Amino acid sequence: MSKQEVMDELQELFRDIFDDEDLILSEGTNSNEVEEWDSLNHINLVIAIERKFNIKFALGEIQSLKDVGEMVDMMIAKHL
Amino acid sequence: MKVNSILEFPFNNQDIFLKKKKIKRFLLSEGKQLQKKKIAILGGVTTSEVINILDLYLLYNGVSATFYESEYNKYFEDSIFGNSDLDSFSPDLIFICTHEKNIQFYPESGATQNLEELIEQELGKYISMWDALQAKFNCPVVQNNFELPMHREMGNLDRTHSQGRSNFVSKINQSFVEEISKRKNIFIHDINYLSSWLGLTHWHNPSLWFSSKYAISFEVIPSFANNLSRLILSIWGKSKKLLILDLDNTLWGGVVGDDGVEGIKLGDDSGVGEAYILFQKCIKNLSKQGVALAICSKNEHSNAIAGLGHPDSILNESDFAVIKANWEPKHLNIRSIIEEVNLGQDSVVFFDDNPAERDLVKSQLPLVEVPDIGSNIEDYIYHLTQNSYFESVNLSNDDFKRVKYYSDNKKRSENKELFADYSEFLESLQMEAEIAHASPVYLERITQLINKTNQFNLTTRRYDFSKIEKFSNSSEHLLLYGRLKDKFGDNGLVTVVSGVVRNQALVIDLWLMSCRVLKRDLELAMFDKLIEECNSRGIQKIVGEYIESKKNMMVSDFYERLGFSPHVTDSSAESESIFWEFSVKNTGDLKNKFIKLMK
Repeated sequence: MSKQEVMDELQELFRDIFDDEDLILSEGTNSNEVEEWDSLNHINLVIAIERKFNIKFALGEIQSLKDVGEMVDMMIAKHL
Repeated sequence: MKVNSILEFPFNNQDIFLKKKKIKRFLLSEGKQLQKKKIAILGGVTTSEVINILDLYLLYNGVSATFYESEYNKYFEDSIFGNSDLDSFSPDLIFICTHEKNIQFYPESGATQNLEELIEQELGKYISMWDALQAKFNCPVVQNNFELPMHREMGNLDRTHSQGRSNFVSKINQSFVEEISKRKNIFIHDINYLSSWLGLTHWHNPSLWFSSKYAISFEVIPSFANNLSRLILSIWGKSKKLLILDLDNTLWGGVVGDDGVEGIKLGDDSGVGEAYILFQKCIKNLSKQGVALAICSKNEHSNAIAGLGHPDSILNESDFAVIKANWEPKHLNIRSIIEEVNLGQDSVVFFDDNPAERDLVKSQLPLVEVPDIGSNIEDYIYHLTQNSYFESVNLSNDDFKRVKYYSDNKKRSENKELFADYSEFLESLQMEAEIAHASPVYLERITQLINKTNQFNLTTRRYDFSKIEKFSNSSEHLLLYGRLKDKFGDNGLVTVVSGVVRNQALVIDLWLMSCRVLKRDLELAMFDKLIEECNSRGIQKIVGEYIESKKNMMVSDFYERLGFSPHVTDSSAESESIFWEFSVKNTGDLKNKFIKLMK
């Protein structure tokens, strides 16, 4: 998958999780910008990504993600 | 939004988690009457997502809950020492969400400890919480029991050794059982069963535990929340009370009207028959626990009773408070059953193998639970038990007597139903039919249908393959078949009409249709086709024939309903035949209004 394809699917998933149809995702999007992106929703997000893209994050990886760009890089590194 | 297919077993996890906010908005927008309740969740683990999903299940069942959520792992402190927020919240129900991870007094390997004392200490902690909460709030308390741990450090010995954790968990669970029997208001949420049913490798999720202190994986949260919600609803007296069942291919395999009592699959002589027996036993036990039963089946009443009289049948006529076996649309029958036993729509569950019937009932009676049970008998029992519709918090002698109460309480109310909605239902099925002259590829199926159809069969004449083949090649004969498709799928070739041209008249010697497609107006579409045929051949008159059998009472007035008038018989006619005639007018007025014809 290309970075753009991953971003597109990810945006759809973010819109569901945060219940915001107008949410626009960029690589710089981080938890400070999305109001409801707290630690609990972060877990929901990670689990939804794992299920949708059929990948698995290792324990340490989950907590250290800074922004969406980093998230996508890591997903692609997992052979998406 | 098809919420029931998302929230009910087998749960659609993907949609539940991604669409939970949309589902909640939808449930709130339905305009259902909602009961307001306050629930305090005292967790030994992270409970956030459990609460979100529990909220959906309660809303789905008519309860709008507000929640108090204890700080992480402050269940013990909140229970014993109180907390001003919890006090002012004043809960209607308290749920103590503790898991195996919260067990404090597990025996340590190699240490010399007294197992009984450890259990006493662990149990004592819970007893003190229950009693403190009772004293303060005097409301029901729901307590998780414990699942088995993920790992067995002692292997098989873990179960039998005094220092085994599996052994400790089962002893604590047993002591919970004994303690709650001494108390009125404490209820066990049996996650020990639930985790076994789902499997411990699905239940535990170490990564999720280490990262966020969830004790269970997300994939089991819907099961957990559903199971918990049913227990809570039952504490509030909101369990389902009436199970309405279809007969053919629901309580036995096959169609009793066609196959006869001896032909239906029921009993230990076949695998399928055995599966139906197991399902019937499960229903019989529910009935003994106070669940009322009723039948809603498209059948002659006498056939329904005969089927229930099958020598191997576990369920008998007397097990049912009401039996509606007739040819009326099912939602009307169900409405009158509910009135007769005097219950609310929201206490009713309906089981039927036919997706079109389920869809009709679901759309017309939205509060009735209509699970998509599929059409495999081995699955039905899961839909009955895993949805926990009939949960009860305890069983008294009254429950065992309740079945009789429903039967006695029947109100013989007049059927005041309107049929206005049924045409809408037919419209919604998006039916398409193929009606044509029999071609070689269909002859085998036509022969089969002719030789097994008993109910919608005007003359019950049986013809063999060679005869059918001859009819299909003869210019004097007319052999029409009909296939019917609807939005649920292809019903296949389901109707046959055979006639012969004699003295400028088309004489119908055979007209039959499978019971699967009764009340769909397919017979009208066939009639339209007959008229078309007559017009193209210059035939002025159609003669219909009816021969009464034990099974075809439902079509005794069929020709009359189509507008035929009595026909004076000639001497060569079979003595038991009744003849009808119809003079073909070239008006072009079609009787069928709901089925689109395919070319």
